[in-house]
Amino acid sequence: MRLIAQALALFAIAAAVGLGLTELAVRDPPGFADVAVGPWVSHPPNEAVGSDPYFDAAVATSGALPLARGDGLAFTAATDDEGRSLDGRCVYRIAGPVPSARVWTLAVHTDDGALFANAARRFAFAGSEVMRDSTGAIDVVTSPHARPGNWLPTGPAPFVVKLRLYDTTISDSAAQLDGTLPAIARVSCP
Amino acid sequence: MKRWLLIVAAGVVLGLITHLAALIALPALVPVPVYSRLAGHGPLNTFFLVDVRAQHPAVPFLDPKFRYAVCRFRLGGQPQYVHVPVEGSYTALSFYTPEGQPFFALNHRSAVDGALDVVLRGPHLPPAAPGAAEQSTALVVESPRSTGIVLLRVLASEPYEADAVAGQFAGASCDAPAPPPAPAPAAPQDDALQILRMSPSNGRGAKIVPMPAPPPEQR
Repeated sequence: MRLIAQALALFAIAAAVGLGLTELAVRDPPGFADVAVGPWVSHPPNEAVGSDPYFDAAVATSGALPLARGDGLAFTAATDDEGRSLDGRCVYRIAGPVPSARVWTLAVHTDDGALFANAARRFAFAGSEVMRDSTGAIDVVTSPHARPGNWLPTGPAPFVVKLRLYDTTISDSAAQLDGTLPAIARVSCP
Repeated sequence: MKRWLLIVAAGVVLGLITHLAALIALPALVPVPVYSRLAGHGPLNTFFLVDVRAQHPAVPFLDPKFRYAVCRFRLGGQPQYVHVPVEGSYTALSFYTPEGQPFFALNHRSAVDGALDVVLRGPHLPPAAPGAAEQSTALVVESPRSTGIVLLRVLASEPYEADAVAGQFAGASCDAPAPPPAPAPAAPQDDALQILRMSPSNGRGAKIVPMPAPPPEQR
Protein backbone atom coordinates (compact mmCIF):
# COMPACT_ATOMS: atom_id res chain seq x y z
CA MET A 1 0.00 0.00 0.00
CA ARG A 2 2.79 2.35 0.93
CA LEU A 3 4.60 1.53 -2.28
CA ILE A 4 1.53 2.40 -4.34
CA ALA A 5 1.18 5.73 -2.54
CA GLN A 6 4.83 6.55 -3.24
CA ALA A 7 4.48 5.62 -6.93
CA LEU A 8 1.35 7.76 -7.24
CA ALA A 9 3.16 10.67 -5.59
CA LEU A 10 6.10 10.27 -7.98
CA PHE A 11 3.87 10.35 -11.07
CA ALA A 12 1.76 13.20 -9.71
CA ILE A 13 4.88 15.33 -9.15
CA ALA A 14 6.23 14.42 -12.61
CA ALA A 15 2.94 15.29 -14.31
CA ALA A 16 2.58 18.57 -12.41
CA VAL A 17 6.16 19.66 -13.15
CA GLY A 18 6.21 18.45 -16.77
CA LEU A 19 2.83 19.69 -17.93
CA GLY A 20 3.00 22.83 -15.81
CA LEU A 21 6.30 23.86 -17.33
CA THR A 22 4.96 23.12 -20.81
CA GLU A 23 1.88 25.25 -20.20
CA LEU A 24 4.09 28.09 -18.96
CA ALA A 25 6.45 27.75 -21.92
CA VAL A 26 3.60 27.99 -24.40
CA ARG A 27 1.88 30.89 -22.68
CA ASP A 28 5.06 32.87 -22.13
CA PRO A 29 7.87 31.38 -24.25
CA PRO A 30 11.24 31.64 -22.49
CA GLY A 31 12.88 32.84 -25.71
CA PHE A 32 16.34 31.38 -25.15
CA ALA A 33 17.34 32.43 -28.69
CA ASP A 34 15.59 35.81 -28.59
CA VAL A 35 17.42 39.06 -29.23
CA ALA A 36 16.24 41.85 -26.91
CA VAL A 37 17.10 45.51 -27.51
CA GLY A 38 15.25 47.85 -25.16
CA PRO A 39 11.56 46.93 -25.43
CA TRP A 40 12.09 45.21 -28.79
CA VAL A 41 12.36 41.43 -28.98
CA SER A 42 13.14 39.38 -32.05
CA HIS A 43 13.45 35.67 -32.61
CA PRO A 44 15.99 35.43 -35.41
CA PRO A 45 14.34 33.02 -37.83
CA ASN A 46 17.54 31.27 -38.81
CA GLU A 47 17.00 28.00 -37.04
CA ALA A 48 16.14 24.80 -38.86
CA VAL A 49 12.71 23.31 -38.26
CA GLY A 50 12.83 21.34 -35.01
CA SER A 51 15.98 22.94 -33.66
CA ASP A 52 14.19 25.15 -31.13
CA PRO A 53 11.26 23.24 -29.58
CA TYR A 54 10.18 26.26 -27.52
CA PHE A 55 9.88 28.43 -30.65
CA ASP A 56 8.18 25.65 -32.62
CA ALA A 57 5.65 25.01 -29.83
CA ALA A 58 4.89 28.73 -29.46
CA VAL A 59 4.41 29.14 -33.23
CA ALA A 60 2.19 26.05 -33.50
CA THR A 61 -0.13 27.15 -30.70
CA SER A 62 -0.30 30.78 -31.88
CA GLY A 63 -1.48 29.87 -35.38
CA ALA A 64 0.77 32.58 -36.84
CA LEU A 65 3.05 32.35 -39.88
CA PRO A 66 6.21 34.16 -38.73
CA LEU A 67 8.80 35.69 -41.04
CA ALA A 68 11.30 33.20 -42.42
CA ARG A 69 15.01 33.84 -42.68
CA GLY A 70 14.72 34.83 -46.32
CA ASP A 71 11.95 37.30 -45.48
CA GLY A 72 13.77 39.42 -42.93
CA LEU A 73 13.58 40.24 -39.26
CA ALA A 74 10.58 41.14 -37.10
CA PHE A 75 10.84 42.99 -33.80
CA THR A 76 7.96 42.99 -31.34
CA ALA A 77 7.46 45.40 -28.45
CA ALA A 78 4.83 44.62 -25.84
CA THR A 79 6.14 47.18 -23.35
CA ASP A 80 7.43 50.73 -23.37
CA ASP A 81 11.04 51.65 -22.55
CA GLU A 82 10.25 51.48 -18.83
CA GLY A 83 8.87 47.96 -19.04
CA ARG A 84 5.17 48.86 -18.67
CA SER A 85 2.77 46.86 -20.84
CA LEU A 86 1.46 48.81 -23.83
CA ASP A 87 -2.11 49.96 -23.19
CA GLY A 88 -4.23 51.11 -26.12
CA ARG A 89 -5.91 53.79 -24.01
CA CYS A 90 -2.58 55.58 -23.55
CA VAL A 91 -0.54 57.75 -25.90
CA TYR A 92 2.95 56.55 -26.87
CA ARG A 93 5.71 58.13 -28.92
CA ILE A 94 7.85 55.81 -31.04
CA ALA A 95 10.84 57.86 -32.09
CA GLY A 96 14.33 57.20 -33.35
CA PRO A 97 16.24 55.43 -36.10
CA VAL A 98 15.15 52.39 -38.08
CA PRO A 99 17.72 49.87 -39.39
CA SER A 100 18.20 49.72 -43.14
CA ALA A 101 16.04 47.30 -45.10
CA ARG A 102 14.61 47.10 -48.60
CA VAL A 103 11.16 47.56 -47.08
CA TRP A 104 10.15 48.16 -43.49
CA THR A 105 6.80 48.59 -41.78
CA LEU A 106 5.65 49.64 -38.32
CA ALA A 107 2.27 48.24 -37.24
CA VAL A 108 0.12 48.00 -34.13
CA HIS A 109 -1.76 44.78 -33.36
CA THR A 110 -4.02 43.73 -30.54
CA ASP A 111 -2.29 41.16 -28.37
CA ASP A 112 -4.16 38.35 -30.15
CA GLY A 113 -2.90 39.44 -33.57
CA ALA A 114 -5.89 41.38 -34.93
CA LEU A 115 -5.98 45.07 -35.88
CA PHE A 116 -7.67 48.03 -34.21
CA ALA A 117 -10.67 48.94 -36.36
CA ASN A 118 -10.62 52.66 -37.11
CA ALA A 119 -12.38 55.09 -39.45
CA ALA A 120 -9.08 56.16 -41.03
CA ARG A 121 -8.34 52.49 -41.93
CA ARG A 122 -4.80 53.12 -40.79
CA PHE A 123 -3.05 50.15 -39.23
CA ALA A 124 0.61 50.63 -40.06
CA PHE A 125 3.20 52.79 -41.76
CA ALA A 126 5.62 51.68 -44.44
CA GLY A 127 9.06 53.25 -44.57
CA SER A 128 8.19 54.93 -47.86
CA GLU A 129 5.25 56.89 -46.46
CA VAL A 130 6.22 57.88 -42.93
CA MET A 131 7.43 61.44 -42.32
CA ARG A 132 10.99 61.64 -40.96
CA ASP A 133 13.26 64.34 -39.61
CA SER A 134 16.48 65.50 -41.26
CA THR A 135 18.47 62.65 -39.69
CA GLY A 136 16.08 60.03 -41.09
CA ALA A 137 14.61 59.25 -37.67
CA ILE A 138 10.90 58.52 -37.38
CA ASP A 139 8.46 60.04 -34.93
CA VAL A 140 5.21 58.07 -34.69
CA VAL A 141 2.46 58.50 -32.12
CA THR A 142 0.02 55.75 -31.13
CA SER A 143 -3.17 57.03 -29.57
CA PRO A 144 -6.89 56.16 -29.41
CA HIS A 145 -7.66 59.72 -30.57
CA ALA A 146 -6.59 61.45 -33.80
CA ARG A 147 -3.24 63.22 -33.64
CA PRO A 148 -1.37 65.37 -36.16
CA GLY A 149 1.61 63.83 -37.95
CA ASN A 150 2.41 60.14 -38.01
CA TRP A 151 -0.53 58.78 -36.04
CA LEU A 152 -1.38 55.10 -35.57
CA PRO A 153 -4.82 54.55 -34.01
CA THR A 154 -5.23 52.18 -31.06
CA GLY A 155 -8.21 51.13 -28.95
CA PRO A 156 -9.05 50.26 -25.35
CA ALA A 157 -7.04 47.04 -25.17
CA PRO A 158 -3.47 45.86 -24.66
CA PHE A 159 -1.44 45.96 -27.86
CA VAL A 160 1.94 45.20 -29.39
CA VAL A 161 4.05 47.11 -31.91
CA LYS A 162 5.71 45.19 -34.73
CA LEU A 163 8.68 46.57 -36.64
CA ARG A 164 9.30 44.35 -39.64
CA LEU A 165 12.44 44.67 -41.74
CA TYR A 166 12.10 42.90 -45.09
CA ASP A 167 15.10 41.78 -47.08
CA THR A 168 17.54 43.24 -44.60
CA THR A 169 21.21 42.51 -44.17
CA ILE A 170 21.49 43.85 -40.62
CA SER A 171 23.03 41.69 -37.95
CA ASP A 172 20.70 40.04 -35.45
CA SER A 173 23.14 40.45 -32.57
CA ALA A 174 21.86 42.57 -29.70
CA ALA A 175 25.18 44.40 -29.34
CA GLN A 176 25.14 45.60 -32.95
CA LEU A 177 21.44 46.46 -32.88
CA ASP A 178 21.79 48.61 -29.76
CA GLY A 179 20.88 52.20 -30.60
CA THR A 180 19.49 51.35 -34.04
CA LEU A 181 15.86 50.86 -32.99
CA PRO A 182 13.34 53.56 -32.00
CA ALA A 183 12.47 54.26 -28.38
CA ILE A 184 8.92 53.81 -27.08
CA ALA A 185 7.92 56.41 -24.49
CA ARG A 186 4.58 56.75 -22.74
CA VAL A 187 3.34 60.32 -23.20
CA SER A 188 0.10 60.21 -21.27
CA CYS A 189 -2.41 57.78 -19.84
CA PRO A 190 -6.00 58.40 -18.71
CA MET B 1 11.58 11.29 5.31
CA LYS B 2 14.68 10.64 3.27
CA ARG B 3 12.70 8.31 1.06
CA TRP B 4 10.09 10.99 0.37
CA LEU B 5 12.79 13.52 -0.54
CA LEU B 6 14.11 10.97 -3.00
CA ILE B 7 10.62 10.54 -4.47
CA VAL B 8 10.22 14.31 -4.89
CA ALA B 9 13.64 14.58 -6.58
CA ALA B 10 12.81 11.66 -8.90
CA GLY B 11 9.43 13.25 -9.64
CA VAL B 12 11.06 16.54 -10.62
CA VAL B 13 13.55 14.77 -12.92
CA LEU B 14 10.77 12.73 -14.49
CA GLY B 15 8.77 15.96 -14.81
CA LEU B 16 11.59 17.65 -16.75
CA ILE B 17 11.73 14.68 -19.12
CA THR B 18 7.93 14.85 -19.50
CA HIS B 19 8.24 18.59 -20.21
CA LEU B 20 10.74 18.08 -23.02
CA ALA B 21 8.73 15.22 -24.52
CA ALA B 22 5.50 17.26 -24.35
CA LEU B 23 7.20 20.28 -25.91
CA ILE B 24 8.58 18.29 -28.83
CA ALA B 25 5.25 16.53 -29.38
CA LEU B 26 3.18 19.69 -28.98
CA PRO B 27 3.31 21.04 -32.58
CA ALA B 28 1.84 17.75 -33.81
CA LEU B 29 -0.79 17.73 -31.05
CA VAL B 30 -2.24 21.22 -31.54
CA PRO B 31 -5.98 20.53 -32.06
CA VAL B 32 -6.40 22.92 -35.00
CA PRO B 33 -3.03 23.87 -36.52
CA VAL B 34 -2.92 26.75 -38.97
CA TYR B 35 -3.00 24.27 -41.89
CA SER B 36 -6.35 22.85 -40.76
CA ARG B 37 -7.75 26.26 -39.86
CA LEU B 38 -7.06 27.52 -43.38
CA ALA B 39 -8.96 24.55 -44.83
CA GLY B 40 -12.22 26.39 -44.30
CA HIS B 41 -11.03 29.37 -46.35
CA GLY B 42 -10.11 27.80 -49.69
CA PRO B 43 -9.37 24.62 -51.63
CA LEU B 44 -6.19 22.56 -51.54
CA ASN B 45 -3.30 23.37 -53.89
CA THR B 46 -4.83 26.72 -54.83
CA PHE B 47 -3.92 30.26 -53.82
CA PHE B 48 -6.75 32.06 -52.04
CA LEU B 49 -6.85 35.50 -50.47
CA VAL B 50 -6.49 36.07 -46.74
CA ASP B 51 -8.10 39.24 -45.41
CA VAL B 52 -5.52 40.69 -43.07
CA ARG B 53 -7.98 43.36 -41.92
CA ALA B 54 -10.75 40.97 -40.86
CA GLN B 55 -11.94 41.27 -37.27
CA HIS B 56 -10.79 37.70 -36.66
CA PRO B 57 -8.11 37.08 -39.28
CA ALA B 58 -7.48 33.50 -40.42
CA VAL B 59 -3.79 34.06 -39.62
CA PRO B 60 -2.92 36.44 -36.76
CA PHE B 61 -0.13 39.01 -36.86
CA LEU B 62 0.02 39.46 -40.62
CA ASP B 63 1.49 42.77 -41.77
CA PRO B 64 -1.40 45.10 -42.74
CA LYS B 65 0.79 46.83 -45.34
CA PHE B 66 0.78 43.65 -47.43
CA ARG B 67 -1.84 41.69 -49.32
CA TYR B 68 -1.71 37.94 -48.84
CA ALA B 69 -2.65 34.79 -50.68
CA VAL B 70 -2.21 31.38 -49.12
CA CYS B 71 -1.94 27.91 -50.62
CA ARG B 72 -2.24 24.70 -48.62
CA PHE B 73 -0.24 22.13 -50.48
CA ARG B 74 -0.26 18.35 -50.35
CA LEU B 75 2.55 16.81 -52.33
CA GLY B 76 1.86 13.57 -54.16
CA GLY B 77 4.43 11.43 -55.87
CA GLN B 78 5.44 14.26 -58.17
CA PRO B 79 7.01 17.67 -57.55
CA GLN B 80 4.61 20.58 -57.52
CA TYR B 81 5.25 23.82 -59.40
CA VAL B 82 4.54 27.21 -57.87
CA HIS B 83 4.37 30.15 -60.27
CA VAL B 84 3.95 33.79 -59.25
CA PRO B 85 4.18 36.72 -61.67
CA VAL B 86 6.23 39.61 -60.31
CA GLU B 87 5.46 43.25 -60.98
CA GLY B 88 6.77 46.42 -59.38
CA SER B 89 5.92 45.82 -55.73
CA TYR B 90 7.93 43.87 -53.20
CA THR B 91 6.78 40.26 -53.59
CA ALA B 92 7.81 37.29 -51.49
CA LEU B 93 7.00 33.60 -51.20
CA SER B 94 7.41 31.85 -47.85
CA PHE B 95 7.06 28.14 -47.19
CA TYR B 96 5.82 26.65 -43.89
CA THR B 97 5.17 23.30 -42.28
CA PRO B 98 1.48 22.60 -41.40
CA GLU B 99 2.20 23.95 -37.89
CA GLY B 100 3.54 27.24 -39.22
CA GLN B 101 7.30 26.74 -38.92
CA PRO B 102 9.04 28.51 -41.81
CA PHE B 103 11.50 26.46 -43.83
CA PHE B 104 12.24 28.64 -46.84
CA ALA B 105 11.54 32.06 -48.35
CA LEU B 106 12.49 34.03 -51.42
CA ASN B 107 11.53 37.40 -52.79
CA HIS B 108 11.20 39.10 -56.18
CA ARG B 109 14.97 39.51 -56.46
CA SER B 110 15.02 35.80 -57.36
CA ALA B 111 12.54 36.30 -60.21
CA VAL B 112 13.47 35.19 -63.71
CA ASP B 113 11.59 36.57 -66.73
CA GLY B 114 9.16 38.43 -64.47
CA ALA B 115 8.11 35.47 -62.40
CA LEU B 116 9.02 33.43 -59.36
CA ASP B 117 9.04 29.74 -60.28
CA VAL B 118 9.58 27.10 -57.62
CA VAL B 119 9.64 23.33 -57.86
CA LEU B 120 8.35 22.03 -54.54
CA ARG B 121 9.58 18.53 -53.78
CA GLY B 122 8.38 16.24 -51.02
CA PRO B 123 10.67 14.60 -48.46
CA HIS B 124 10.47 11.11 -49.91
CA LEU B 125 10.81 11.81 -53.61
CA PRO B 126 13.74 10.13 -55.36
CA PRO B 127 16.47 12.52 -56.47
CA ALA B 128 15.84 14.38 -59.70
CA ALA B 129 17.40 13.00 -62.88
CA PRO B 130 20.97 14.24 -63.44
CA GLY B 131 20.94 17.50 -65.32
CA ALA B 132 17.22 18.07 -64.74
CA ALA B 133 17.84 21.08 -62.55
CA GLU B 134 20.00 22.68 -65.20
CA GLN B 135 17.16 22.28 -67.72
CA SER B 136 14.83 24.49 -65.71
CA THR B 137 14.98 28.04 -64.43
CA ALA B 138 12.84 27.11 -61.42
CA LEU B 139 14.27 27.04 -57.92
CA VAL B 140 14.05 23.63 -56.25
CA VAL B 141 12.72 23.72 -52.68
CA GLU B 142 12.61 20.55 -50.63
CA SER B 143 9.76 20.46 -48.15
CA PRO B 144 10.47 18.60 -44.90
CA ARG B 145 6.85 17.40 -44.92
CA SER B 146 4.43 16.25 -47.61
CA THR B 147 1.93 18.93 -46.57
CA GLY B 148 2.44 22.59 -45.79
CA ILE B 149 1.59 26.17 -46.59
CA VAL B 150 2.86 28.65 -49.18
CA LEU B 151 2.32 32.29 -48.24
CA LEU B 152 2.44 34.88 -51.02
CA ARG B 153 2.85 38.45 -49.80
CA VAL B 154 2.82 41.57 -51.95
CA LEU B 155 3.45 45.06 -50.62
CA ALA B 156 0.45 47.31 -51.23
CA SER B 157 0.94 50.38 -49.09
CA GLU B 158 -1.28 52.57 -51.28
CA PRO B 159 -4.92 51.86 -52.27
CA TYR B 160 -4.15 52.44 -55.97
CA GLU B 161 -1.79 49.45 -55.89
CA ALA B 162 -4.68 47.08 -55.15
CA ASP B 163 -5.51 46.42 -58.82
CA ALA B 164 -1.92 45.49 -59.69
CA VAL B 165 -1.78 43.16 -56.69
CA ALA B 166 -5.09 41.55 -57.67
CA GLY B 167 -3.61 40.91 -61.13
CA GLN B 168 -0.57 39.29 -59.56
CA PHE B 169 -2.72 37.06 -57.38
CA ALA B 170 -4.90 36.10 -60.35
CA GLY B 171 -1.81 34.96 -62.25
CA ALA B 172 -0.35 33.00 -59.33
CA SER B 173 -0.61 29.24 -59.30
CA CYS B 174 0.27 26.77 -56.59
CA ASP B 175 0.00 23.71 -58.81
CA ALA B 176 1.14 25.07 -62.16
CA PRO B 177 2.08 22.98 -65.20
CA ALA B 178 5.78 22.11 -65.35
CA PRO B 179 7.76 25.14 -66.51
CA PRO B 180 9.35 24.84 -69.95
CA PRO B 181 13.05 23.98 -69.96
CA ALA B 182 15.47 26.84 -70.31
CA PRO B 183 17.24 27.31 -73.67
CA ALA B 184 20.29 25.10 -74.01
CA PRO B 185 23.51 26.89 -73.09
CA ALA B 186 25.60 27.98 -76.04
CA ALA B 187 28.91 27.39 -74.29
CA PRO B 188 30.21 24.29 -72.54
CA GLN B 189 29.28 24.27 -68.86
CA ASP B 190 32.95 23.97 -67.91
CA ASP B 191 33.74 27.37 -69.32
CA ALA B 192 30.45 29.01 -68.54
CA LEU B 193 30.10 31.69 -65.96
CA GLN B 194 27.82 30.26 -63.31
CA ILE B 195 25.49 32.91 -62.05
CA LEU B 196 23.77 31.92 -58.88
CA ARG B 197 20.39 33.53 -58.82
CA MET B 198 19.41 32.61 -55.29
CA SER B 199 19.02 35.49 -52.87
CA PRO B 200 21.87 35.58 -50.36
CA SER B 201 19.29 35.78 -47.61
CA ASN B 202 17.72 32.50 -48.64
CA GLY B 203 18.13 29.72 -46.20
CA ARG B 204 17.87 26.05 -45.76
CA GLY B 205 16.17 23.42 -47.80
CA ALA B 206 16.92 24.85 -51.22
CA LYS B 207 19.25 23.94 -53.99
CA ILE B 208 21.04 26.63 -55.90
CA VAL B 209 20.14 26.31 -59.53
CA PRO B 210 22.63 27.80 -61.96
CA MET B 211 21.26 29.95 -64.72
CA PRO B 212 21.98 29.01 -68.30
CA ALA B 213 25.38 30.27 -69.37
CA PRO B 214 25.48 33.39 -71.56
CA PRO B 215 26.59 32.93 -75.17
CA PRO B 216 30.32 33.36 -75.83
CA GLU B 217 31.40 36.87 -76.59
CA GLN B 218 31.77 37.71 -80.31
CA ARG B 219 35.26 38.80 -81.21
